[in-house]
Amino acid sequence: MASIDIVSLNKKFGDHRILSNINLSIAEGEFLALVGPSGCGKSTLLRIIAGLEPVSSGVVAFDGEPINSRPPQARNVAMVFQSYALYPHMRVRDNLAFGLRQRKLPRAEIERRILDAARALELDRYLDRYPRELSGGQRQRVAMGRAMVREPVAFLLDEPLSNLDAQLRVSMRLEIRAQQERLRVTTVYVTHDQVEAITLADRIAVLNAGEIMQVGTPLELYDRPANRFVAGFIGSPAMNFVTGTRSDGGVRAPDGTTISLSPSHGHAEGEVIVGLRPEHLSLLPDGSAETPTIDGVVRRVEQLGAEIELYVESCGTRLCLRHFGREAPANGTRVRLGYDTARLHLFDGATNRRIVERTTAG
Amino acid sequence: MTVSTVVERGRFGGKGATRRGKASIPTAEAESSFVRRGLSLLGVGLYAGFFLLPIAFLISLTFKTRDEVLLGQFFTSKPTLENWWKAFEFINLTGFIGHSVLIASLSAVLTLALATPATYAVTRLQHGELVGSLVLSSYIAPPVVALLPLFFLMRWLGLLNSFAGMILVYGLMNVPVAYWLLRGFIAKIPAALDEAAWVDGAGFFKTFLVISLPLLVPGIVATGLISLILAYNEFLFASLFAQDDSVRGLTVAISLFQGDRFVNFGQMAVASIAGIVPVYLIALFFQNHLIGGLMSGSVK
Repeated sequence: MASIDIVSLNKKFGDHRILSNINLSIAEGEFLALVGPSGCGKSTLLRIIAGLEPVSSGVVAFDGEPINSRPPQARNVAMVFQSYALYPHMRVRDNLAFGLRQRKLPRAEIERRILDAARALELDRYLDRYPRELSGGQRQRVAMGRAMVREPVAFLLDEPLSNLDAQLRVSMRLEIRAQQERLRVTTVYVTHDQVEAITLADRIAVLNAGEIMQVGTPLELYDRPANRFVAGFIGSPAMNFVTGTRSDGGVRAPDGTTISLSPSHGHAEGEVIVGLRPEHLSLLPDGSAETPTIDGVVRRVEQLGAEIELYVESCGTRLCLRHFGREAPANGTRVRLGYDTARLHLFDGATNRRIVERTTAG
Repeated sequence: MTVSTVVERGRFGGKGATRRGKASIPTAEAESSFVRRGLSLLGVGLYAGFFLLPIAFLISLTFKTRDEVLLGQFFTSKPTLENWWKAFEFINLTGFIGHSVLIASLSAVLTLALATPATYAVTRLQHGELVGSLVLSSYIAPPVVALLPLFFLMRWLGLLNSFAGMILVYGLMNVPVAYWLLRGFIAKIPAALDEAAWVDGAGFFKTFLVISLPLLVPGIVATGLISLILAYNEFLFASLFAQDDSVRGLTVAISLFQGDRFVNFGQMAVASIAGIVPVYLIALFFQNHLIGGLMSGSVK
């Protein structure tokens, strides 16, 4: 096990910048998720940690010791590839044993570790099969097992669940978390699925266009997104954004609606973006005296069983609202929405950065 | 109609009862598939004919007398076996074929031994990508350009009229072809397999030997066969570098049937047919290794 430090890391492919000035510290035993949209550089960052890609500049260190010049063989990390990359001409047993044999472990020890991993992953019955004789889920477990038997300084997982169906993905997610809690090995987990990141990780690093947007615990990212990108990326359905100008009463939306701000946002000026999560908007019954409110017209209703997603035309855009009930207004109905100014996010219209709340005391 | 009914029954088997109401649609389908089948058979026939006719003509030549050959007819009125025993008597045909097989197979082994690791290194480890273009450009020049320099080089090395010399010439000559063939096969092996092995702690050479090489077997066999056939068929270098009976190969031997005043077509045809046999047997022997699907189950 080791801590991983990435300092001022840059990566270019030719003239193309893949990663810009990445600084990231991963504590020993921590589970860090790297999330971001396709092409944001998250897989490249993982491959750099594994030693499969050279850096253009910057330092990667394990336990404070720079390892830039070490080839992947000498880093003692274990990696699970998105494609699993099982050795097709070897049985499951030999796939699991391969890494251990390279390290010249005694035969009995190799056998013990294979059986332990096989038992934990319920692969004991398949040890003598070839990868082509396994289902997708079983192959995924072999790929996990190949990493687990190694007892490496870090686990690197590159979208390990993206090829599985939804149900299997959820059960493997629980499995991965359980294994990580048992082994407590430093883990870097790349995914484009923010739900996976939130449910698995101790901390999340959000990447966009090769830059780290924010690093924090899942709740920090949800409660206090540092910029509009993180705000839109974390949370499902995504946060609603209304671009408007600061006015006396709050923020004036393009259609003339005024969105009230909490006093802690009183210092905001000029063009701003208001962020409202769908779960923080509520449908007000007729005659409700609750304030503040926004008026709008229902344009789409999606019944999900436990909840209803309503799309309401308002503030010059379409706002999504999660309504926890069974009755929903029909399309075209005029509705009044309530919101809590304390749960409202405000971003600078020019920089997209969060406008940090101030205590009103000063 | 009879045929189409049979086809239909064959296709839907036991489901006949439930299908009866909609019989017209499958019947039309079956008819069109019958036509399609006929057309494809015709296509295959023409294609096979295109390649087999020359061989059939060659075989017919072996049974003709010298005069009959000149008439240019396909069938002979009085077939003779004379060419067959004369061809083997006139020259040491068996020996020359043996020389060709020996030189061609060992040179193919040399080609593979050089080209396989080299191609892997260039395509997978991304070192010396320029080598690829250089290798191709060297193959674009007509071989005759190399004829004289090679002759003097081989004479200087004392390799003229030697098996080692011929194996060396062909073995090196076919490396560019092998490089371009193997590139495709190596590209089909997912790079993640190598990377997984590196992360697992296996060195670059060991990864090549233990992970990539076993998966490359079909490609290596195919490339080896092509290198072997190229060397087996080569005439230009052989005619200059291997003139002595002790190393002479089949292609040069066939030219021996050409006299000063006439060409002995019948015996030449016998030598050609006899020369095809070993290559076919070798190809047949390795056929089972030309299987695909070795990679299945490894990724996705």
